[in-house]
Amino acid sequence: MWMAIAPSSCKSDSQAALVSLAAAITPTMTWHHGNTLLLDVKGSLQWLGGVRGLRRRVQTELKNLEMRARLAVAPSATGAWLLATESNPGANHNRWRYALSLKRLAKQLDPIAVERLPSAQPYSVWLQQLGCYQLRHLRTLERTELAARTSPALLIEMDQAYGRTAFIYQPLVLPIQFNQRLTLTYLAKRSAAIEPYLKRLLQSLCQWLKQQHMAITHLECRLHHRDQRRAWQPTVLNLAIGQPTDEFSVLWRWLSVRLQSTTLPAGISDIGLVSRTLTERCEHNLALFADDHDQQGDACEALDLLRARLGAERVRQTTPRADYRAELANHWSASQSPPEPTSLPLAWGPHCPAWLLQRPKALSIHRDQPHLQGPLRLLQGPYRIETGWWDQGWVLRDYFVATDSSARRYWIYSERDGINARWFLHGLFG
Amino acid sequence: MSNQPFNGFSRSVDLPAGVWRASQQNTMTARTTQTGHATLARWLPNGGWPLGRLIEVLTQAPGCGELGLVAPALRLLPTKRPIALLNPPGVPNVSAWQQWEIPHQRLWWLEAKTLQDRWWSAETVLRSQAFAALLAWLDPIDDNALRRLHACAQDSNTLLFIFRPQSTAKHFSPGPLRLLLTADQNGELTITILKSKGSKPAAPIVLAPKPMRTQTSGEVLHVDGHRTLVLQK
Repeated sequence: MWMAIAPSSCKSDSQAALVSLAAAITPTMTWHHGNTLLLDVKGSLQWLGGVRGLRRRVQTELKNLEMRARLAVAPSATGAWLLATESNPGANHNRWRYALSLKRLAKQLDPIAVERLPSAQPYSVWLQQLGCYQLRHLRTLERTELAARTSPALLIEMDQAYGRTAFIYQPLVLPIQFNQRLTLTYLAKRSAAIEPYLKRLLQSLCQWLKQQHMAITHLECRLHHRDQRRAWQPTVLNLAIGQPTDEFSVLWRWLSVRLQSTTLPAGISDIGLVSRTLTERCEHNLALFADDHDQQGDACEALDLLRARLGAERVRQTTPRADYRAELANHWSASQSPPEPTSLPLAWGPHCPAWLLQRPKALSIHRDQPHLQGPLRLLQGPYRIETGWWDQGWVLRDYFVATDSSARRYWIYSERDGINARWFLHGLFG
Repeated sequence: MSNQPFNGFSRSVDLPAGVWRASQQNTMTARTTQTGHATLARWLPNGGWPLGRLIEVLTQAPGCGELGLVAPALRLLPTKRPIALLNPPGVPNVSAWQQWEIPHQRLWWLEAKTLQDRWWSAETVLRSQAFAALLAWLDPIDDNALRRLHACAQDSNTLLFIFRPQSTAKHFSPGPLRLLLTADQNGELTITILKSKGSKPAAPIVLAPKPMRTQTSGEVLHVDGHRTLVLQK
C-alpha cells in the first residue's frame, strides 16, 4: 500500500519538514517527479490504525506545520501519485483520495487524462488523433502495437499505475545530523565565558561522532544573542576543515581560534552546534609511509587554523589555466581540495615576472617614453599577444621587460588598439 | 681538520648548544640546505641556508631579484612539503614558479589583514612543522615579534626567509643571517652580508644573472598546439 503526499508549495524547508514527518511513519520513501513524496506504508498501516488512522495523523501534522497537501492512498505507487496530483479546477487543496483494491484503483484511474503519464507526453498529439484521451482508452489499445509505435516505457508506466508491474525506486536516504543547543544560565558577555559550555557541546559532538563511526568536515556553530530588550540575529560561525576529524583537541583548537577572531555584538544566551557535512571515518592509513600521512595531516591542520582566523578566502592555492593573458592564466582561488596536477602549457620565456599587479597600472609618458618615477628603459621585447577575441576580454598587447635607474626590472606593456601608445605596468621581477 | 685538540680538551667534549670554539666559527649547529649559488655558499656558515633560523633579506624595494636568490634553494629542498607565501608584495605569478621548477601545488598564498594576524600566521606555519619553507613579508614588525618568530623557527626545520626594506638594516635583529641585496644595471645581484657567524667577505658578493634562454628572432615555437612566431627588434 502506498501513500502520496503532494504539497502545494515545494520550498526546500517545507520539503525537509515533510521528510521528517514521513520518517516517523515509514523508513522507505522516495521523491517522485520532483515534489511528490511517495511512502510505502504497507508495514505501518496496522500500527497507525488503518488507512483512516494514517490519514488522520498525516492531516493533523500537516495542519500543525501549516502546510497544505493533497493525499492519496492506493495499492500501487504510481497510482497513488496520479490520484494525488490530479488537478481538477476547484479541487480542495486538502483533498483526500483512496483506493484500497486494484479494482477500485482501476476505476478511479480510468478517467484520468493520458498526458498525465510523463512517458505519454511526446506522443500526446498522436494519441489524441487516435481518440485516446483517457487512461481507459489507452488500456484498450493493442499492447504490442502500442509498444512498437510509442515506447516500452509507456507500457511499463501504465502497468505500474494499475499495479501489474513492480514499482522500482531508489529509496530516500535520510541524512544524519548532530544538532544540539545549550542554554546558558547567564548572559555571557565575552567569548572566554562560553568556552566551558562550548567544550561540553563539542565533547558530546565528538562522542556522537565516535558512536556513528563518522568524521566531520563542516561544522556550524551558532551563538544566539540577547540583551535586556530583544533577541539579536545569531552569529553563525561556519567552519570547514580539510582533513575529516573526530578529535576533540583538533576541533577545539580550531573553534577557539575562530571564536577569538569574532566580535560579539551582544551577550550570548544560547549556543548551538550543527554538523553540516559528515564523512565516513577513515580507519586505515592510506599512505605508504606513516611519515607522509602525518605531515599531510599537519599541513591540513595548520591550513584549517589559518582559514579559521584569516578567513577561508585569504588562504589561496593556485589553479593555473592555459591562457596567454597572464592575469587569467595566473588564477588563485580559496579551494579546499588540492588542485589537479596540471602543467602550464604556455612557454613565457623571459616574460615571466615573479609578481603580477592586481590590475595593470597606467604609466605616464614623457617624450614618447614610459615613466614610473623616472624614465623606463626597454630591455627585452616585444612579446606580442593578441588573444581573447572569443570572449569579452580582447587584448592586443606588446609586452616588454623594462628597467629604471634603480635597476629594478618591470614587466610593462603597450596597448596596440589606439593611435597613441598607452603603457601599463603589469608585473615585477623578483 | 687542521686544528688539533689541545689543553686536554678533545673535540668530543659536548659543549652546550650555542657555544662554539673560535676555530668552529664558520660552522653552525643548525642543519643547512643548498643555496644553488656557489659564490654565495662559500661565505655562508656550513655552506648553505640554515634551516629553522630566521634569514633576513633586505632590499630597497620589492623586485630586486630576491626571489631569484631563494628560488633555487626552494627547488633543492629535499622534502615535497608545501611552501607558504605570507603577504607577498604582489600576486604570485605561477608561471615564474613553473620556470623555477617548483610545482605550483606546493604553493600557498596567505594574506593576513592586520599586523597581529600576520605574525600569528607566520607562527602558526612555523609551529605546524608541516611546511618546507615560509617566505614572509611582515614589516612593520617590532623586536618582540621578531624574537618570538625566531624562537618559533628554532623549534622547526622550516626554511624561513623574511623580506624587509633596506631601512631596517640599522635596527636590531635576532636572526643569525642578514643579507642586503642590490641590483645593478647589468642585471647582476650584489649581496652584502650584514650579519653572519664566521668571517665576512671583504667585498660584496656579486651573483651573475642566470643565462636565460633568449629566443632568437623568427623562431617558431610550438606551444599548446599553436604556432607562435617570436618577433624581436
